[in-house]
Amino acid sequence: MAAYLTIDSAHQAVVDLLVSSSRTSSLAARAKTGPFSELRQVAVFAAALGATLNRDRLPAPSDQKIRDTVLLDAKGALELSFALAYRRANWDLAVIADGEESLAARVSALEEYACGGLDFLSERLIDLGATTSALELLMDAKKQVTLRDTELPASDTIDHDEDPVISALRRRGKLRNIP
Amino acid sequence: MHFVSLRMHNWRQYLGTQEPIFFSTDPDKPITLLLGPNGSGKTGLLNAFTWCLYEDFTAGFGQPESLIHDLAVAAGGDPYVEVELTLDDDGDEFTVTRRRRLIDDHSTVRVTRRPGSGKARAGETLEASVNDVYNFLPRSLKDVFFFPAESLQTLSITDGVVGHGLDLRKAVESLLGFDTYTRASSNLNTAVQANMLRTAQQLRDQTIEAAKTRWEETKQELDLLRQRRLQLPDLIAQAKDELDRATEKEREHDEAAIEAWVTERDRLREDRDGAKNALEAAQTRINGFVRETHHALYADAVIEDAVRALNAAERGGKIPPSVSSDILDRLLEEPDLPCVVCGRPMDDEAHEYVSFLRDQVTDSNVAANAMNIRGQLRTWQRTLRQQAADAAQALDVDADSLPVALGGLISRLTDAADDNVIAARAALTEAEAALAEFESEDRDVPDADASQKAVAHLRGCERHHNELVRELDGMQAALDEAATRENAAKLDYEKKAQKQQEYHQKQVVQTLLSDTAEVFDRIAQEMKRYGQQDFQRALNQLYRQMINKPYKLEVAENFMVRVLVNDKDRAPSQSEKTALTIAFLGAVAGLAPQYRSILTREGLGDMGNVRLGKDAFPVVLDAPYSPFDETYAGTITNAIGDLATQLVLTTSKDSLRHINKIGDRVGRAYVLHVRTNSESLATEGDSARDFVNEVVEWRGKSQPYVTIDESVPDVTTNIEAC
Repeated sequence: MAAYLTIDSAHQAVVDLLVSSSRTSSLAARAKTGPFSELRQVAVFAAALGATLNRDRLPAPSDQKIRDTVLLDAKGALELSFALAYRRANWDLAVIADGEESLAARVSALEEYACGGLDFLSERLIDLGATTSALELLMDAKKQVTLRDTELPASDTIDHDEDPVISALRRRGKLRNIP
Repeated sequence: MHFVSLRMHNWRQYLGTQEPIFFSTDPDKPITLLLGPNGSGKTGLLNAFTWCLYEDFTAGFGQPESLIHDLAVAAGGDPYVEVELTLDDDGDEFTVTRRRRLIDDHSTVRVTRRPGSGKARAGETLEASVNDVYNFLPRSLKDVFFFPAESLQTLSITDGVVGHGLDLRKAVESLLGFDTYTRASSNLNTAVQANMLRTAQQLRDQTIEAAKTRWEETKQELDLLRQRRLQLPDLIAQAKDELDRATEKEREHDEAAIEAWVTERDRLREDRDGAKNALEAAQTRINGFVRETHHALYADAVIEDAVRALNAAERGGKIPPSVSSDILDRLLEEPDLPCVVCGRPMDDEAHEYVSFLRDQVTDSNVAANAMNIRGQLRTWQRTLRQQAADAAQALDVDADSLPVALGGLISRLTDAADDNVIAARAALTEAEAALAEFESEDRDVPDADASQKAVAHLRGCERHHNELVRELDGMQAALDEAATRENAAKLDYEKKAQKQQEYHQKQVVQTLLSDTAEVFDRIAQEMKRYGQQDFQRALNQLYRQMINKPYKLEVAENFMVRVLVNDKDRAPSQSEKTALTIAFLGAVAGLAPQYRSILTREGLGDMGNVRLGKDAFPVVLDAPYSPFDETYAGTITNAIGDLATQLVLTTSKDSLRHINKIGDRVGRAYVLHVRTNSESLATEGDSARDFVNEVVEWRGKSQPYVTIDESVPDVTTNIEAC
């Protein structure tokens, strides 16, 4: 069963601002429309923003939906959806198992963070005014959001249970070379 | 009409210029007698008349090509023969002089007229035409008025009036005047059938109209061209003036200043356009960069977390698992299998431990996905980093100053791209401002438009002037061509119109000619009938005077004469025939002036009642006695004496005894005096010594007739009056 990413209708204005119209060719028009050419690109960007802001929520039901196969074909969508779902699962690898459940979890993670990111952008757009250009909005967002560094240390600090086989071998003094 | 005189020069036997023969004009003594021996030139004298008047000869005239006396020819120089005949016609004296030089092929004739007293220009000698003479002495009467002796014997008018070199019927018809109408009718009928009156096919009116329209069109075209040619010099002069003015006006503009201004304006426009393009490029660049990388700005940390988590899982032995979940699943499913490590049978504790391990070991599918995804995440990071590096290069950002983290890197590059946009926008604003200032009204802007307009106007004037000059250059050829077309159209129209006109005219003419011919035919028939009556009456009158016999002469339609006695045909004797011929001549000569008067006065109504009068035309009768013996001499003499006309009679002295009987009718007499040597006279068997001089006696006077002169190299005849 296919999974869908829903765009909350409350975000329509900011979505229209960020997605350029293919029919718009004038310089002035392009300045007022966004750099993104597809809705799914906006969704991926917004999800990354929402994850940075730790803002996520379920979107209100809407007719504007993106099917999973279409969504995950967007640049960075697959990678970001996994990362978000993986983090949400508290680094449980099960979330990357094959199957509809894990796919739905990844799409859902992307959807909810995207909704959070679009919430933020909509709020900023209101603050900046209706004449704000897409680029101005994006640059404002960049100023407003402090980029966070990775949450995990580069060394292995994640508390994983040691492989029992390795533990058993260790107890028997068979793994002297393994730290 | 009567003869006045005849003068000959080198004519046949008459060497040199002869004394003129003056003909008797006394009505009581109408005969002029010319006495000459054989060979003296009596027949030659008769033909002097016919040659002079008609350049023709009587039947049987020998050697007509030798007209000039042999001695005259032998004498060399520029010999010629000339005959001069003077006639009187109703007081007007005509002199016909015909001359032919030996070296010429034909003769020349000169005719003069001297009007008689009481007429205009009386006494003056006026140039005239031989046709004036033919009016009263037509050629057709030649055979009647100049009658050779032989014809008296050979021609029998009871057998026919045509033959033996004579055509008396034609003469009579001519005399009576109706031959003109007969001939005219015949000619008219011939003319009706002539090619020239053959009507061609009638052209349709619309064909004519179309040809006329075409002609008018070409004519109008030609007229317009001619008018245009007349106008062109003025138009060219006007165009030249306009061109000069345009040139002057164009010079008023400072071309260098305008060019500098335009160059500067163009440069500013190029700057503005370049700034526009730069801004557009900057916007395109930042849009592309944002589209491709902006999600990474925030996603980088999340992705990096996932990578690190996966790395930790790997170090924790979660991926890939140290014991395959598949092996553990099999050991659990088949408890009898030995330990895969030590090979000993596995007890319950061992199986419990396997079950524990299975719960701890990552699912092989998840492990595989994890490994795969980690690879994808790292690929994503590498790709994004490479894009950032490319963008940095495109944005000309120092690579050493860039953050290491991908998010920071993209943030920095986005700022740089945005700075570029801002800078480009500022540059555009500046360029537009500079251009606006340059083009603002405050500046001293050269009127480039006016200059361009002046130049354009100048070029237009040049073109117009050149076109007019070229038109004038080619005008003559165009005119010639148009004239040719017009002429061809005109000819075509005229030809067609003429053809149609000819068609109508010919129809009219044909009808007219046919009608006229019919009228002429009727006139001729009537004239012939009445003329025949007149001629028959005159002939009977004369013949009855000549021979006192109860003969009645009947003139047939062809003017053949029948001799009737008591309404029965009678064959006349030879002497009666001769008298009849002379009477015939006399009737013609007698009626001639009457009919001439009728035809001149248009008194055709008199026809049928015309009688012989005192006036009669002259007759030249050549040696009438010579063909006959003594039996007929009396008849001839009587006949001659009864001819009430001027008669020129040539004869030999042998006939004098007969002539003397009508001697009182002789008004003038001449001797044709022959000078010759004996040898010339000699014929076969003769001896020169037998010849002696002869004289002739006339009215008691003796005159030389033949003179034997051995010094004379050839026969010569001199006219000598008695």
